[in-house]
Amino acid sequence: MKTIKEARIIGVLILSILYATGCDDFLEKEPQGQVSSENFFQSQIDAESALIGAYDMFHSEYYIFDMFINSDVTSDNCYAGGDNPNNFQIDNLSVAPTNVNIERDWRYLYQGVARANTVLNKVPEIPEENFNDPGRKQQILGEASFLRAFHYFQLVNLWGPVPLVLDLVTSTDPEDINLPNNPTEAVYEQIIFDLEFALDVLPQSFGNNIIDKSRVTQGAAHAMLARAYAFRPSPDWEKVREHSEMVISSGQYSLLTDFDNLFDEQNENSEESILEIQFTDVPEASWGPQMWLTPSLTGDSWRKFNTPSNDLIAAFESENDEVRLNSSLIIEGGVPWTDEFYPSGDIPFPWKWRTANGWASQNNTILLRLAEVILWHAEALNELGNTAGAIADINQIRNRAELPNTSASSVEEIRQAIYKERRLELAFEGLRWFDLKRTGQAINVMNNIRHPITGVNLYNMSERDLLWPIPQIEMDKNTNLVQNQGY
Amino acid sequence: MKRILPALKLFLLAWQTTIAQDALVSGRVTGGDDGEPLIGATVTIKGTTTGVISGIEGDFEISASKKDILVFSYVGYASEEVAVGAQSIINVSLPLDIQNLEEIMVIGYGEVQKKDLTMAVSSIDLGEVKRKPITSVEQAMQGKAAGVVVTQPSGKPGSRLSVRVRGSTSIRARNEPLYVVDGIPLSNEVNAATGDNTETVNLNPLAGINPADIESIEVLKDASAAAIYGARAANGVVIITTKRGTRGTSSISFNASSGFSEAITKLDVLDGEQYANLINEQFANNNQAPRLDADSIKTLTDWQEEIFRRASIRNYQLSASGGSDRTKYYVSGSYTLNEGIIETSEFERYAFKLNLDQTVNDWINLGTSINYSRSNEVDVNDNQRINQGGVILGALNTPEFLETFNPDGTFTQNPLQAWENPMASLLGAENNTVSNRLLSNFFVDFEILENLSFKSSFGLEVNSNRFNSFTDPFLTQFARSQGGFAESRSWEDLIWLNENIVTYQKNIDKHFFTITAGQSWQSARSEWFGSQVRGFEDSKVKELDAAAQVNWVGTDVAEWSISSYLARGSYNFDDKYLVTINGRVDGSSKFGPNNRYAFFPSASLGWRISEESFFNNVSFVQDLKLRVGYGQTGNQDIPPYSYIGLIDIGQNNYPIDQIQGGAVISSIPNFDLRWETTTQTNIGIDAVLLDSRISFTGELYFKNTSDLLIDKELPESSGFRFGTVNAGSIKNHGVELTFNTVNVAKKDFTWESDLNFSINRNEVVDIGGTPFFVGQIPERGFASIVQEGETLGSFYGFVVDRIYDSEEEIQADNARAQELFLQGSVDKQFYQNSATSPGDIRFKDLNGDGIVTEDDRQVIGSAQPDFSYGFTNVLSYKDFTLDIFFQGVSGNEIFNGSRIETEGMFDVKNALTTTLNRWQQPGDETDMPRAIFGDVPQNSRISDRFIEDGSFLRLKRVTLTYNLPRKILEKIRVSNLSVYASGQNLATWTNYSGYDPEVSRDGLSATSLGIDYGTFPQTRTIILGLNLEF
Repeated sequence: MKTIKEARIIGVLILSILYATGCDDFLEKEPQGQVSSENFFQSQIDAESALIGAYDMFHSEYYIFDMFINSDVTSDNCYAGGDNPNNFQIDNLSVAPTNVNIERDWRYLYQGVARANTVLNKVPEIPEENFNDPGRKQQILGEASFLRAFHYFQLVNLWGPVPLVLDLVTSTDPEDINLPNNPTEAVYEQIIFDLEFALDVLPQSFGNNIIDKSRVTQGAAHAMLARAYAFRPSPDWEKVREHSEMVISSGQYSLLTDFDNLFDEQNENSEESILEIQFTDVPEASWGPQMWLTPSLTGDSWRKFNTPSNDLIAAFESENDEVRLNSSLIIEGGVPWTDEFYPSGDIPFPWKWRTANGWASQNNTILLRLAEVILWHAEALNELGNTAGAIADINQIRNRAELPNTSASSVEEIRQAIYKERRLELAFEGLRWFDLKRTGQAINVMNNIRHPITGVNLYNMSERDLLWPIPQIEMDKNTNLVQNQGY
Repeated sequence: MKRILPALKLFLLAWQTTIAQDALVSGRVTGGDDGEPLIGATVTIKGTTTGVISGIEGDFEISASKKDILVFSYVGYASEEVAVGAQSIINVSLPLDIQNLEEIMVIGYGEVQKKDLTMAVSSIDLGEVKRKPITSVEQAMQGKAAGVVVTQPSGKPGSRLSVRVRGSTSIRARNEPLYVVDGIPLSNEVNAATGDNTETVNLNPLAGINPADIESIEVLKDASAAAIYGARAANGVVIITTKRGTRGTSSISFNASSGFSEAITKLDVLDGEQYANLINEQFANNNQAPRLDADSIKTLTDWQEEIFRRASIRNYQLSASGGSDRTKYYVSGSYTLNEGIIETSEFERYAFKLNLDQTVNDWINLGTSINYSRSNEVDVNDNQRINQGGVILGALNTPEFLETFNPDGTFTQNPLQAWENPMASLLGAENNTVSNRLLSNFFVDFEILENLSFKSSFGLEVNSNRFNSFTDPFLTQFARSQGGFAESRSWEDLIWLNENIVTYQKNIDKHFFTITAGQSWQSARSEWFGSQVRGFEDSKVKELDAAAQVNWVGTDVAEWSISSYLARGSYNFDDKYLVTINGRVDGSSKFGPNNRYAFFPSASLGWRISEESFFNNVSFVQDLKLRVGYGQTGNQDIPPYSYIGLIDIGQNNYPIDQIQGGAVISSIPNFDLRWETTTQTNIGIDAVLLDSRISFTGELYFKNTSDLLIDKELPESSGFRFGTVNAGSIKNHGVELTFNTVNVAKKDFTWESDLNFSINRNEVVDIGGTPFFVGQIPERGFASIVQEGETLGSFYGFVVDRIYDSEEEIQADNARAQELFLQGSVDKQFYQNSATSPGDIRFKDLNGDGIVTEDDRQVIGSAQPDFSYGFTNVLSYKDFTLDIFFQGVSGNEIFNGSRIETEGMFDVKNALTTTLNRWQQPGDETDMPRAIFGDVPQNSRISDRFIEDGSFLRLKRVTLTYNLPRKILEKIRVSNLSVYASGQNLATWTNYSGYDPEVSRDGLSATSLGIDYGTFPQTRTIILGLNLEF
């Protein structure tokens, strides 16, 4: 009897020991759907994919929809349309710090910055010999620098003094993440620094036309540098001239003869284009055009967003600019809603994208093109006193739109002619509001716009409204931030 | 009616013969209020095995010496001890034993008699479940235990209830208790892998369990009880034990019930003409032309009438149980159908249960517990605005002049804004979720020595879920533009568990020791697959491959594991002094190598004062025990890999010539991440008083949770939305009172009551930084705040002062603001904003700086109740039993966000009739502001305007049962036949203006509580049923 009991005890003990000596790595579980960032960056492939992740910010809501709102709905080019009170606020220039659009735009743009920072911080750690293509490492860093500058250009134009985050955040320590505002000048300084770096390392061409329009090239860096030097609080017109000239004289770009070809879907990534957001089939398609194209094209009956304004139509008409009017917007009647600005029922819709395809448009969005650079060149020459050169540039743009030469001759006349030309040429291309502010016209222009029917002033903006408030939720989290004046 | 002891016990005692006695003592044993004789009561001489059994009149005869003490006992009655002395006739009347002190409580890796319990454990009374089919485990728990607050966040069938044991301890991790079913800790992390494309799906781990199969539910509330479950026990542990067969019996039981549920109330909305007037006024106030001709508008459709229905409820269950010498079994099958009161919503479940026990030989027992269920759930879109197709708000916001369908068969839309009517959301798309759940456990028990046993068990939990939806390409506008779409997602979780436990018991004189020690390991793997497609020709074929395009497709895998060692020692001296010590070491794969293992100790002491000799003379106290416990428990319930900085692959591709794969860093690494620790002190008292008519348990606890796992919201400029850190602490202090009373115990009439009452005070002590906001309301920001010094679930917003009645009042405020602005002390020239006009709300300038800004928000309410309670009464009269169950909470607030949409008057939504009282001209005395399109003055900002008292007292359930008399049953050879009628939510006393005060849009969230935002309301249910046993 006793031996049986002993046998039982021994048996159970052996079992227990077997159990207890389980494998040591029982608690080691590696993620499978994702990768740990600790040991990810090893090869050129990893560097390239981090860069693609950074480019993918161009598919965020900011560049699909909000950039359009923030440039054209805010300004005199479009009404908010649609049904969203946040967009109404932006249209009305009475943006609250809790506005949902500004919260998300802040987030998207800084996400873009972080993705660029990922490349800029992590790729240098990959040994040169792990790159198959010599020189590619530097190019990758250049592309990322450009992308960072591009996002900061949006940030500084919307909010003015914003925090400069230049490193990938790897801790939640308040000292690392609660960064204070930097002065507007400092933000531009960084933008220019990043673009200059990009310029140094980027190729003029990657040897493939579509890639040259998808990726950032020297041309794009020059074009953005022209923008940055013109937009910064004290423009450097010599630099604007220099960089725009580099683009024009590169021989890489030329104006399309027919303005409509830029947007007719047949000529994407054209010779005029410098940088385009690429949209292809689902899931790399754009839902944007469904938001603003006509009911007949979208199959929707709800009120569309970003309705072109009477004021914009009048601007085209005042120049008899039928070419660009007809390429920039399209009128459709009999829509199933009423629009207080168009009681006739014939309503204009943006027309620089032509297909909605049920939230899956393949239409690209042009970010930079030669016409803009030529207008920078014109503006620089004019500001530097070379009116003849400026007039020649303007006429180049006007003639392409089948318009006669400009009648402007004085510096001031030419200046105004360029401003107007920019509005007509670049409507819905993400620049109008920034231009109005840059040129000091914003308050005057906006406060003179009247309701087409009732004649009452549509806007009552003040100095405050030139900049958005920093989102309240960001203010709540980062106590080192100072809110913009007036909010 | 005379009571008969189970036959078994009679036999066991019958052989006990009497031996040498000094004298013959006789008497009568009676019981209860009316003193009926107890047949078969045992009368033993204390300290011996000598005893007799009372006869048909309760009479007994026993030989005993004068020094002997006789012990009288009878099931259901408290035992009584009488010293023989000189007496030769002893008549005793045993009091009813409401609190059965010998009751066995399951406490995790062991059992204990209630009288020896040193910890805070609540046993859920399942009496009502036996009489009436309650279809979910949480419902059976609701209102039944002090300190266990069960809230049904919505009336959606099959929806998961929120269960909080002694408050919320966590912000980020789970707040639900750990459920242990037949020894298997259930994974609360069903669907740990959900891919990156979908929202987190919250399936209910208890949904597969049929409450009728449950033998007992124990809730381990304090740390000294729960620490044996270590790193997962911070929110308490609910131990569910299912029924098993008993030796020598065999029975078959059938239960069928059927009924309906319906909406408790409807809200009053504007008719067509009132709507037109409101809309025109809104536009007029925004300087716009009228949109509708009020005179020509008809009222055609009551949308609430359209979406609500009388929903059918059915439940059938068949079970058999029994056992022979060596084999015991319990087997059951059940079917449940719960339709929702909103069209199409439904929950359907088939459940199967098998429990087997086999005695192999004199030292080996083995057994298995198997639970399989399959459920099918049809969801509806609630908690959303009409803009997103929310059904409830859709019904309230769609004007009544529309009909459901256009002539072409499509759904109508609000002509002013293309929002489709709510039926479009219900009928334009179909969806269902099928869940298969298998919970099985196999165990072998070795009785190595008389006092030493070893139990090894192997458990397996398999959850397999599939969600399918199809949106018709024609019926709704959104789908038309995309040619309809279809989505399919599936998850499978496989979790295995192996536990090896040694138990040693030793009794030396008055010392009684139990030692339990063991080891446990559990490992889980979840796989997810999902895809969405679009572009269907028609709705004939709804398969994914019938579509033209793939929107997205994805898979994901996640794994976690826990390895643990546990031990418990308990010591009992003379049934007076009780000590229990627990400890568990848990290692979790969820934490980095720096902090992978944790130790959770606890200890508790009990002192049965009533056993002390000095207490012998206190006749009105039958039992009195003091308890004190202290210990630590943990919470590790965060997603796997949280400590690792992760890179997302595949979600951030971009086409450059061809589509190229992108990689994006999606989280910040934190290798120091560790579990949350909850330290709890518990002081308890158990008392049985007044001839056992009253039993009382009181608990006082102090529960502090530190190292909170927080998704610390980061400034977005970091590029990250949050980082997971250990920061801060939360405190829950509370009192729990439980009374069980026998109010009347007469022959034909008994009345028993259970009352439980809980107070929990919750406070966020520290969150390691700035407050953060939760409870997002579309286009209004956040309704709740997590802030130090406040409770979780605090509402945050502006405070309404009054309605401006005149331009002068506004100008006075603005003039002051202007003055301050010119002085440079404020940066705004208006008190509120430039659009403020008479009829708008004046909000309070709380910080006194002269203007109203975001800084003038404050905590404006809390969803935490001051106290909650449950009150059960069971009345039996002859063959009738009446269960009446009240339940309530008091002192909590609700943020009625639905009213932003229904009283906001800022867009073309239909509104509640309360808006008829809106301000229209100076002199209007009202608290309803004017209507203005766009609401530029922001009257509908988040403010105390939408805060309401959420207290309620509810007649939760009433069940009347009729048991067929035994005489008839014997004739038809049936051991029990009863019929019953039951009603749920029959009456609710509340001041809440919405559908129902038991509401929480964000379901199980710890931080966003008590928000009503078009939430599926609670329902009233009436059920008829029968129980048959033979």
